[in-house]
Amino acid sequence: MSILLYCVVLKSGLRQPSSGVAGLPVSCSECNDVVALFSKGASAEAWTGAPLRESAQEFHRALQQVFTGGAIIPFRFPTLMKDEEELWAYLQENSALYSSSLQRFESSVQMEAVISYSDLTSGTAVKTSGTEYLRSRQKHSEELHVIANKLRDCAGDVARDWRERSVQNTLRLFALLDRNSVSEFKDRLRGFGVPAGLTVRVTGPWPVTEFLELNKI
Amino acid sequence: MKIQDSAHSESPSSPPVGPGGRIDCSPENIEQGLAKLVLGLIELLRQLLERQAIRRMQGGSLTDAQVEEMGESLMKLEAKVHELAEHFGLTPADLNLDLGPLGSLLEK
Repeated sequence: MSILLYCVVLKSGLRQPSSGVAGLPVSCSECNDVVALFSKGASAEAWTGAPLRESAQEFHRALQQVFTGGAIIPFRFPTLMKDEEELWAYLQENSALYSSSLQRFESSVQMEAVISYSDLTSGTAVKTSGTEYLRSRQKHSEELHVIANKLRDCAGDVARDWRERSVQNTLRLFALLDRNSVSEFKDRLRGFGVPAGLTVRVTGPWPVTEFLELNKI
Repeated sequence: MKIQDSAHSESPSSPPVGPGGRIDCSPENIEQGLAKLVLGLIELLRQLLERQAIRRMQGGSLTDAQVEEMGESLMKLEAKVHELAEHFGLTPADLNLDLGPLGSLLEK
C-alpha cells in the first residue's frame, strides 16, 4: 500500500477535487493550518503504470481544481509515501515552512513565457569551426535574453518579480503576479511584437513553484 | 505570440511524461534502455561543459586556439550523441530522462 501526494494547501483555502488519479477519491491529512491532499492506492505500480501520460493529466486536473480555490504547493508526479503515518510525520516536520510560504503567496500566481527559436535547426546547423559553433550558441543566448528583457518591460509593474531558466535555444521566464492581475498581464503581452525566427508561448496561471524556497522543505 | 490558459496546458512543474521519458529495461528493450541512460548522462555533461565554455569565452580567459578546440570538441560530441541516439531509435528529446519527483534530467 502506498499513497500518492498531490499538494499542500492552507486549510482555509481548501477546495477538494472531485476525484484524483485513476478516479480514486482524494483524502486530506491536516497538520496545524495546512492540509496535504493524497490518494490511497494498492501499490506504487498503480500510479506509475501505463498509461502514464493519462495519470499525469488526471493529477494535473486535480491540482487545477484545488488551485482555483487558492495557493497550493504541488508535489511532482508521482511523489509517493508509504502510508498516512509517514505523511503526517512529514507534515509535522514541515508544516511551519509550508504555512509561511502559502501565506506569503496566498494571492499570487505564476505565469510562464517560453522564448525559443521557431526553427529548431538554427542551433544545430552545421558549423564550419569550433569557434563559430560556440559564438553562435553565445549569440542565441544573448538574443533570448534581449527578448526576455523586452517582455519584462512590456509586462511592466503587473509582475512583482521574475525568475528565468536558460536551456539550449530556449529561455523560460516566470512572472510573479497577483491572482487578479492575470488578465491584465495577458493583455499587455498580447501586444508584444515577437521578432521573426522566435516564438513566445505564454501559459498560466500556475502555482508559484519557481518562487518558493523549496530547498528548505 | 501564443497565450494559453493553464487549464489547457500541462503543468510547468510536471516532469515529462509518457514512455519517452522512462527507461525501459525489459529484456526486449534493454539495449535501448541502457543507451537512453548513458546518452542522457553524456548529454547532461556536454551541456554543462558547453555552458562553462561559453562563460569562460565571455570572461576572456580562453585563447582563440582554446575556444576553437573546445568548440570543435563540443560540436563533434553533440553530433556523435545524436548519431548514437538515432542508431538506437531515440530522439534528442528521449535523452531527457524522467526522474519522477526530482523532475527531468535536462532542463526543459
